[in-house]
Amino acid sequence: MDKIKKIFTRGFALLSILGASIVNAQVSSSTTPTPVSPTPITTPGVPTTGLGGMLVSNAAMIVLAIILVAIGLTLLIKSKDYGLE
Amino acid sequence: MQKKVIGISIAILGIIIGTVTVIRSTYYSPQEETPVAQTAQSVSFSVSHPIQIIIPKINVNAVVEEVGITFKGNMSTPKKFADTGWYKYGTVPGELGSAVIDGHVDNGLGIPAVFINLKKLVPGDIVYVQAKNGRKLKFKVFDIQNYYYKDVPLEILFNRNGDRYLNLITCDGNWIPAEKTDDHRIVVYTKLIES
Repeated sequence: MDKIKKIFTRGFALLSILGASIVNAQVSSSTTPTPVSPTPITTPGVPTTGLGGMLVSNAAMIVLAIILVAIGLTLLIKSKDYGLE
Repeated sequence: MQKKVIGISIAILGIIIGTVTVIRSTYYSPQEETPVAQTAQSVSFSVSHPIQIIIPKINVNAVVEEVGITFKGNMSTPKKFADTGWYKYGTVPGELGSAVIDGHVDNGLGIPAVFINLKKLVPGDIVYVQAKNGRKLKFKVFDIQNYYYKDVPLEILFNRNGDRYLNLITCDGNWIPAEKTDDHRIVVYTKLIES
């Protein structure tokens, strides 16, 4: 009986030590702040923050749109003028 | 009947092209971003990310968007011309290192945007940044530089350590049609003085 008791006591002591080590390891890893480098990992190129230079191409698209609307309306009016419906 | 249908179709096409062009060039900056693995920094300080920038001297009170990197490898820009963009893979404003915020100088129709007057800042001017967690940071301008676009010192702009910097950048100079970019950049260097 004493032998069994001794085995249990030693086993329990071993388990306690093991458990305490695991808990301690987890606590230390969760409380240790992750080192953060002030240096960004990726250094990009400079941004393009001015688009005023695209004014010409954008204006051309707007002119094209106006021409298309004018052509469309002309066709619509003509179809009514000549009774082509 | 056929003419009527063709006429209506052409007119609608014209209206669509016109509307899309005006909206895109007036409100949105088309900059596709490439995915980059998030750094420990941008994750761990997500609550302190900037959401608003105020520069009283040039009447700027703008939203701060988070921007990444374009497919060309450049810092991306905010989607709206009235907003600014914080480089989310870099330093968080208020932390050690160099945080970078960019903003447009004009839009696709040449109408002035948020950083049109950035070049008017002088050393001593104040810049405020509001973080997501409510923290308000106060920065002071200590240097302004106008660089040729290929000569911008990227290491200083993005990587200067030793203090808590906030660098503001926008375009200047003349348009280079082949590169679809302006030939100069204005960089305003500021340092944290109060948080």
